[in-house]
Amino acid sequence: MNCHATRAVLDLHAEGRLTPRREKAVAAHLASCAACKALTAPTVVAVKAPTGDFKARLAAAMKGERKVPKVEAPRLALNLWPRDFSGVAFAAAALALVAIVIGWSGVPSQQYDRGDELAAGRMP
Amino acid sequence: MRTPDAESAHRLGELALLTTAFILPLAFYLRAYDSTAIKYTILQWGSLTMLFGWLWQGLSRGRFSAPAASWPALLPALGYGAWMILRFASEPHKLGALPDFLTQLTMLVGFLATFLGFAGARSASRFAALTVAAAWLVALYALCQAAGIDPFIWKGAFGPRVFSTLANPYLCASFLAIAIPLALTLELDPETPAPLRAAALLLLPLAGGAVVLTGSTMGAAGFVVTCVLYAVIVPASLRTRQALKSGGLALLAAIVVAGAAALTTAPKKETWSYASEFRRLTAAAELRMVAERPLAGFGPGSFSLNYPRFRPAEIISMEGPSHSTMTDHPELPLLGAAVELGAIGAVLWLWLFGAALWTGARGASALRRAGALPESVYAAGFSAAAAGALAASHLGWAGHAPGTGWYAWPLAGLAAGLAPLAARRAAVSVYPLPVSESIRRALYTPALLALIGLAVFPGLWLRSDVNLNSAIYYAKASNLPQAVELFSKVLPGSQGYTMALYFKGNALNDLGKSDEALVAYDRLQQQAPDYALVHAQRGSAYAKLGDWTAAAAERSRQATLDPLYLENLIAWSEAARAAGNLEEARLAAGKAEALDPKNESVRLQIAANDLMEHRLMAKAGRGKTNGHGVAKKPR
Repeated sequence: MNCHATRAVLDLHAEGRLTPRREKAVAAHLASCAACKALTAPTVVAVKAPTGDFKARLAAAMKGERKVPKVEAPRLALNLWPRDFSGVAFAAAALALVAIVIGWSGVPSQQYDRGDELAAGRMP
Repeated sequence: MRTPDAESAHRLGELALLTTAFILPLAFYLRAYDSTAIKYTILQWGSLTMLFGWLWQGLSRGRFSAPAASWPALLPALGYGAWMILRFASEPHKLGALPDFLTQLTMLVGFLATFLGFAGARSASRFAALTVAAAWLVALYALCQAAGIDPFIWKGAFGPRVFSTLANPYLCASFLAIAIPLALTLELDPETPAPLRAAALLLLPLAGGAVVLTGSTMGAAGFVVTCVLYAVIVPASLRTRQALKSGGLALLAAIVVAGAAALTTAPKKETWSYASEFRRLTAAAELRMVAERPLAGFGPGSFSLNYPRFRPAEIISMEGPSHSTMTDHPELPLLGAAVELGAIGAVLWLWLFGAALWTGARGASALRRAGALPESVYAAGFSAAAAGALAASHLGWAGHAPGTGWYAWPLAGLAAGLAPLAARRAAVSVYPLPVSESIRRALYTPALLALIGLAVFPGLWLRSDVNLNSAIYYAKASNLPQAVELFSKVLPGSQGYTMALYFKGNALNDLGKSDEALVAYDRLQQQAPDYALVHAQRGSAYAKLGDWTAAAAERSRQATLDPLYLENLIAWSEAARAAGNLEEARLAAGKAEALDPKNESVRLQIAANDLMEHRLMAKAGRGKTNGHGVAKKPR
């Protein structure tokens, strides 16, 4: 595996979801590639020590939070209807264009001068 | 690793899946020769978009992946696809077989795309809801037709029987049968909103009534089979009280529709025996095809091209006086797979659906135990729906029609694809792309251009069907030059390509351009060697050119394929006599006499043959002919 292939599966590697064979290949690459190995290292965030008025600020923040009106959790819904109608408008316009290009002129289908179920295989 | 591009591609593919599920049963276009030709177009566009959505998603993420546990269901599908493509690449009549091959391929894409790309409770619920919505519209239009309200030109095409947007009573009933398990599944899902649940439940009486009004015994039988399978599979998979109740509803619907159909649409004894005899004879002919090429078959999409050689005379007799009937599809989907793809293809077909449905039905209980209630409901319901659709398709030919045959594939794909979700952190088989992101991004545009380029073809093929329709109209109105021009515009790959070549030849022959007619027939026979009455038509063209030997040979071939075609036997006798082959002329006239001894044309042929013999004898003195029009030397 090269670097590109390895980096594409690092998230699955971190979650331990790769198959044993793939895991072995990734591990072999990481052992030989410092750049890719660096990407797997856990992120360290420097945290500053709290200042003297930390407790007071925290209390004030918590007090303010209590004033936030309770937001009702969204109800489960299928969301069949799209939120953005531009896509629908585009699809409708494209379909209309196709209908025009195909042409509405001409003669109607001639399949229906017979009315039996075997019509699917019949010749005119 | 989920980039916005991957998300867009996923949405595009899912949109294509859902749009196809909704529009496929509803679309029809009455200016085309086959008013349901547009369904093929939609299916091809939808499958292409799903395929590219999945490819684009992989490009964007830099990898293609599937749950490691999905291989038992994925392997037969990939094997079936590979075998189908391999057999198509090696078959001799590629252009003739292309339309049906593409239909089979799009159905497989429906399975793979849903299995690999869009399996999830959200996609499943949307798929079910949109199919139920389409079924509502189909049923409402059917009820309007029953009430005599139909604004379209096909009004009353099947007498009092309704056919809705499916253009055929049996297909209409078959589609509604597919929608019922989906409606029950939607109702069973605890997260379905109440109005949608009510709409799903209301579909039961509405669709049941429409099925009865189709007057299709096969369709009603398919409805009953689908409901019974749902009533068995879903409670057995989920083992909940709600599932049992849902199964009970399905059983009730089956009993009511079966009873109503028995009372109102019970077929007359002769109709029933005709249909069953027709099916028995066709299936026997298909078994003979399998026996000729048992392992690899004739190639995907090639059934109609090869079947004329196996069609028994009894079927020709049953089909009436036309003699130009073409059988487009095999009788049973599994037998059809054996005919076209051999035992290898049939085994892969069985393995594919067996593995997918088993995975789905078994996965449902695992999902329920894992607390994934909606997923478990859809895995069980879709397994039952796909099993029902497959079983019902073996009662008729709905499995070959795009508006009905497609659904079994994505339903099986969704059911099998939901099952691995039970294990939240299960292993994933992943295939990363060993190229940089910039190279992957550079591939987006060519992929998009390829999609657009390929999407042009379904549109052109639909246009071809419109041209075919217009051409036949002009041919019937005796405007043959205009007809020939339009027949020439029917493109390879369209459903009517072989038909157009045949009719073009006939029109040219009628115009007296027999040389050009033979060229058209040559092109036709490269794709469909025994199409309709092509040998009789070639015989006619050769006769016009004065090549009686070739004319007699063609007529003889037609007589082998269709021994009941009296006009051909008479023309054969005439051509053989003109070619100087009196024995062959007598043979042809004898066959004609056996069919219709009192026919005036037959009597004339016998008299003409006798006269020729007398003349030859007179010419050769007391000598007798040797049966080839050449007088034997007198002893």
